[in-house]
Amino acid sequence: MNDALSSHTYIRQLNFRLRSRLSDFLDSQDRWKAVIGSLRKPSGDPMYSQMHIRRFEGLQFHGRSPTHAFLEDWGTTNSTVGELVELLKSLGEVAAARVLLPEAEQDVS
Amino acid sequence: MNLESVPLVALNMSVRRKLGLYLNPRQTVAADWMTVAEEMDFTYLEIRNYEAFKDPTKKLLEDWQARSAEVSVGKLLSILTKLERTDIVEDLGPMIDEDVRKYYESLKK
Repeated sequence: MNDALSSHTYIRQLNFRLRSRLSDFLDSQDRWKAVIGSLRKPSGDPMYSQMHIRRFEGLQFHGRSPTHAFLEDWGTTNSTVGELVELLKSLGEVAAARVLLPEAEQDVS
Repeated sequence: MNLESVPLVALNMSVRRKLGLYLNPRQTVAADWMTVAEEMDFTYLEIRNYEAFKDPTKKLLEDWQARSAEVSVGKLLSILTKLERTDIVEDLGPMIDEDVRKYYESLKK
């Protein structure tokens, strides 16, 4: 289905279907919050503050997906599939990680 | 080539259309056309009014080059870099370089 996807693919290049499948996993029970709360800038500072997280939270009340919004937002920094997969794995979100890369390819990055 | 001395007219329609493609969608945290407009020193009221345009980025670029002498391709790139829109800088960089090259050639004629 996503043969062209590798750990070097940019997040901003993900197609709509993959984004939606990630949302299916991460929108429920606010699991996206742990994901974006764990993102760090190269300096080590959090990528998104508590205020930022509240903005994403607010989107839900307009029927929008925080996961979709976060992927689009974070994607503007040239972040990669490999970075997201590593993060998802460290948080135990194995199913979501598998949506992007099958198990076999995850450690090659 | 010193990009600070290249006026914005060097940028052709396809680059401007692409800039709109990247900047027109509103972002939750990352920089979008509104953040760029603020960096270009447009006022709050002006920015609110640009919301009525279908392609606010296009209008923004036209008005920006008309109102200030300091406007240049280099300045635009430094704004995008400062706002961490590295996706745009990477994706449109070659297109912009090409337009700048054509602009210099047209000067020689």
